Amino acid sequence: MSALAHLRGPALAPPRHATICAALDEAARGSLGLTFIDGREDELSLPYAALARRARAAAWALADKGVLPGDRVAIILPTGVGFMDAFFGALYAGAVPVPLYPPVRLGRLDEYHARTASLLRACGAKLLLTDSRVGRLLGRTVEMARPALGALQINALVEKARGELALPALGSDLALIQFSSGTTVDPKPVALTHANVLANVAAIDSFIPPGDASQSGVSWLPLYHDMGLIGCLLEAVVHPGPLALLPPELFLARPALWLRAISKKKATISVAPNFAFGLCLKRIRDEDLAGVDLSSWKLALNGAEPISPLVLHRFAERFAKFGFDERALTPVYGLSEASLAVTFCPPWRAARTTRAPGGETRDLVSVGVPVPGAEVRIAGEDGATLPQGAVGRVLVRGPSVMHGYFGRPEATAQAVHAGWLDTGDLGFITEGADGELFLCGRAKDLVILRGRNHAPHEFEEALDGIAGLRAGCAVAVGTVPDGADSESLLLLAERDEAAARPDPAITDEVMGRVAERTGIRPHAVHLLAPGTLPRTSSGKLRRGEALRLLLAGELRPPKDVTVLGLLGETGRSLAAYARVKLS
Amino acid sequence: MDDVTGEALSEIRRVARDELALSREPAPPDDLITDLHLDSVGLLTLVVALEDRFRVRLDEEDAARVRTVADLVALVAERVQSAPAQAEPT
Repeated sequence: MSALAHLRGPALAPPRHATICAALDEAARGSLGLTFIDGREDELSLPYAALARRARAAAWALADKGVLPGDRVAIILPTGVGFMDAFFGALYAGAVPVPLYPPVRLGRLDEYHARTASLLRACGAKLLLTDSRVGRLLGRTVEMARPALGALQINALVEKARGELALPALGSDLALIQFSSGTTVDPKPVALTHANVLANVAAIDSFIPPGDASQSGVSWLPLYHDMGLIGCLLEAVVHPGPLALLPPELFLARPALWLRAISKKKATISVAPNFAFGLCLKRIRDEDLAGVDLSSWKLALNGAEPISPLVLHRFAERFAKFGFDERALTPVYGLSEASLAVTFCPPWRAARTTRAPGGETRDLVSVGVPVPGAEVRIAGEDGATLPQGAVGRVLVRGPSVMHGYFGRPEATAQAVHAGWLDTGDLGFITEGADGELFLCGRAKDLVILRGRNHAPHEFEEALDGIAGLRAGCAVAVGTVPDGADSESLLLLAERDEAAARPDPAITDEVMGRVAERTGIRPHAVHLLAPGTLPRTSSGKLRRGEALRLLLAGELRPPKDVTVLGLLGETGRSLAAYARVKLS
Repeated sequence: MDDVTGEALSEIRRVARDELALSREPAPPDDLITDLHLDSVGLLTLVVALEDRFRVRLDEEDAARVRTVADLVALVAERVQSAPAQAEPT
């Protein structure tokens, strides 16, 4: 008789503020603030008092331009003072900020424009805030989405403001919109109220010693992502504590700057997705860390994508000589629909691993227990709670579960039933009184790369019209390859046997196309005989099943293919795979 | 100018080899994305390395005219030429 798989977090102390602006007003009475670190490791400080003053000027200017309470204000800005002016300015004006990602440097812009325009339309943005540099690139986006008030430069607005404004708001008002996935096909705007966000921030804050002025954070996470925005920036404002910010692109290009900043600021908290810890292993040389001391780092949170036990172990081992303590590594789990955090591992404990039920050989890492205020249960297809130890859908309930998808009641109804949010993740809760949540897959098709969710269509559509492939007969799946440290993209595409094109040429075009359209380089491309991909009875491709068959070595063409043909196909596939692995 | 061109190409090759572990040595006509399969992190790494090495700034809007390794080399050379002399590393 197993107990039911249902965990309840401790009671949540009521958040101290009703709105984000109220929290900022209080932080502004102290002397702490943000620090921006640039590529030369020079620092620019922005005390919360100055931040609040600038934001109230921005709010005045926004209202002057015609922004009304409740209007959505899209923000496309790099990490910097301008972002703060725009984000908190929109909030003081009673508007709803919607941070979106800026274009990739040297990346192709066509896809970016299409994607960003669809995000602007999905949230009904009235205005786009940007700066002179990024703004020059956004003409096409603005032309496609046509926000009523166009695009404005935030620095000019703040400089020309002739007053300050801080409109009152309620906890039940919308505070911000974040997107759950960056795709053009079905962008889902996650709408959060002040109460949603502040409940989640309070839950996270319960892991940080209260009233301790020595607590400080460093983050390179993008501010258009829940973990960077809510988990780092808003957490720092509410606590309040000092936070040093690096632009994400700087971390990606020079990961050593992250660890150097933690050392220099004697930071106690810093959070990143799994891939970032892997990137540090790959790209940081010991000489980049001369004089670095990571012993202040007590909470190294790891979340937003599947966690590899191997990466945790290697990271701890590699950076131990710089004072890093393995017990700081704290796996966490969350999703944008739940504001951010859902479960945390108890801090200052070595990672706990187990294997999934059913003879799985992969080690899985515990993501802990629900944060204060949250509840997690594992349900079967019928929605009933399963016993402990059984794999099922992970459902979450609590005060930070989203208000809904903006303007999408039918999608909201699909995701949230009676207060329970279906995360789309598969997992189980271990047996016993000290049961913890483990994640082992996804019920919905999703590829998570570098902490960002991608719908598979994004990649599959990039293959349209490639000579030698059957149209519409390809699937994109995410998996962690043997020995790798994070999820990678695989493309499985059926060949058009009538086309005499050699496989390597096709594979090469697929790699190039996907990189060009999506900015992601596939780990491997598998070319398959026609009819190999599993389909539903209505002919829809079954991505999860295709991946399962591939990993089990059972992805085979239909029976009417001759043995000789089969050998040839497998040989070609393997050759293509080997080739791809080299690059 | 030829010096800068040659240096930029060798810096691109160094980054491709040491930082990005590309199996193929970039050649001037290679398209950064469709031939070298650079993803967003790869492009960033390349840009930041070139900016550091030559003390120049490559803007987002340069994306429109940079498709190949040769384009990128030419852009770096152009920026170095237009940069004030005191920006040279001492």
